[in-house]
Amino acid sequence: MTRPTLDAEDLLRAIDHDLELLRRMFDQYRASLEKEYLRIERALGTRDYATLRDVAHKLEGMLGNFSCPAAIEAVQRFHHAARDADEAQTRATFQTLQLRTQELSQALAAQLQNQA
Amino acid sequence: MSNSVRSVLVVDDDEVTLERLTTALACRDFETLRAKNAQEALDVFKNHPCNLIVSDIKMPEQDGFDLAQKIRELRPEAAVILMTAHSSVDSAIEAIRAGVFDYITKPVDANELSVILERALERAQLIDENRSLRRTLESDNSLGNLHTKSEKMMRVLALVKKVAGTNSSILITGESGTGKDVLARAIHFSSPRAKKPFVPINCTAIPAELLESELFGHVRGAFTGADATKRGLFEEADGGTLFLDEIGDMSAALQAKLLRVLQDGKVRRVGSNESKSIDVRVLAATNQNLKDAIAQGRFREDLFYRLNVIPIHLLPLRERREDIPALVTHFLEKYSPTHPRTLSAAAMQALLQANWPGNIRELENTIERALAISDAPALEAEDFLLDVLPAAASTPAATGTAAEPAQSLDSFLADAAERNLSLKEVTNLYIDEILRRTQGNKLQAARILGVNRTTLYRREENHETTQDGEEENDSTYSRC
Repeated sequence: MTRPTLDAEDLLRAIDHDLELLRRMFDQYRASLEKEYLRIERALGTRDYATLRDVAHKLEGMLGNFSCPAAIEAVQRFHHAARDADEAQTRATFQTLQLRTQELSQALAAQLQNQA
Repeated sequence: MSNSVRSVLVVDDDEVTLERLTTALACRDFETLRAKNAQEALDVFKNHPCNLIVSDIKMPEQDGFDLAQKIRELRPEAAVILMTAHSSVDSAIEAIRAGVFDYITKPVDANELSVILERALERAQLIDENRSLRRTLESDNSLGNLHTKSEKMMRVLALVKKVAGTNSSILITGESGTGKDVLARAIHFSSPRAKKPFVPINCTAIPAELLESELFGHVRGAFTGADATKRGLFEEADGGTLFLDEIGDMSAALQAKLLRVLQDGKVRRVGSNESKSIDVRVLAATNQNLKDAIAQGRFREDLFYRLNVIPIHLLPLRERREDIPALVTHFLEKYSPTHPRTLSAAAMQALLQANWPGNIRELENTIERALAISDAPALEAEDFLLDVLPAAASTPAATGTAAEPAQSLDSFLADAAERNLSLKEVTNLYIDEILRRTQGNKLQAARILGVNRTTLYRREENHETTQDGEEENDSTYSRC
């Protein structure tokens, strides 16, 4: 069963319907994501699973702020693969994660636009 | 509560979480600070009076547990709340070991976090109040708070200061009301045991049959009514001080048991076969002459020597009158802290001349009563309702001659009966005598007689008119 990209109602409740806060969170999310994806790519190249696990953990925490079940499921799968040091699975789950976070970015941008 | 007290330091290496939590907490009336790692958090913490820390567990270099430990070392009263994306039993146990206030899982619900922080604040406030109460208690009961101008008392206090820090038993003697319990507290709070319990017990206030279980505790079923096992006062005072007031009234059987505990340093609960080691300093007090009690076989000599390692005798107030002004000032402040009250020179003179058979306690009660009776800013002598009987008659030494006033009363009544005096005539004689003794002070006389002052004025008027040939009204002497 496909998980929803964004639970907008839950997100707005969690941030006290503060759209200005959501905008700042979104900006930081995009900046962090870019940085962390670069770290993942470098770590995949050297099979540095410790770093992959750390980044996965950090992303789990960050994504938890956005009420985004699909991206959270993707990052958890990526985390499991990195913990198992399974290169193929880690690369595959990373691709899914990138896709889900891209969908999340679009959903958040749309949410901000709609609410504005 | 000030903003600094409601300050929360949020620590997370994830900027999004930092942004969301600090904004959410600011909306809930918290002042927020942020740090991206443990080192940055410690720098902020050292320079800010913040006692609430919300930190992620997994961070590069130092994790949340390390941070919690360092914060505890710097400021033990600070509350650390740890957050984790992956909760596990192991990390929860480690959090407890690190002494964190609470442990929550991500994503953090701001309302839930706010409730936890409010709870942490309440705890911090309780710790603060507790500390403040302890400081007050220690300062109120410190030896430095016992002032005296009496040379004899100065010598006593010098001895007390020397022995307070030891573990020796002390026997405090002195008349009732001389402050034996106050001195016992001061000794405890000036000793290395000050942070441990001070447990006082008045040996006469508890029936003899219950005193044993009160002191040593009992096990369930030890006697009828022992529904549960109970710790005794010796165990309650472990590490601290047990103060046995009115020790002279303890039964012979209990004296033997107390002696055994003092010799062995072990207590055994009533009904139990097991002894438990205890570390208790025993202070005892009595207003009796225990040497006389030993001679009369009422007190064990061996227990006396065990308790009387350091004897301290407190002087009666009549032998240290120079301390009365300072004590008066202390009690005026104690009973009228918000409305400063004084007393007239005549009033102070009266207090200095009184005999105070009940010593400091009587002086304290007298001042408390005077403050309740009078609304005037300066108390007058008559506000104190001092005993107007001749000084010697009210000293404890004179109580042994109590038969003499009784003989006078007997002879007075016999004489009145002989002369067939009416009740009104006897009453008049008594009133005249009281007026003579109070030197005509109608307020003071009225208080002794238990009538209104106006009653005495009316009596005077009626007396004058009676002398002019009119009948005196029987209701003149109606009570208040």
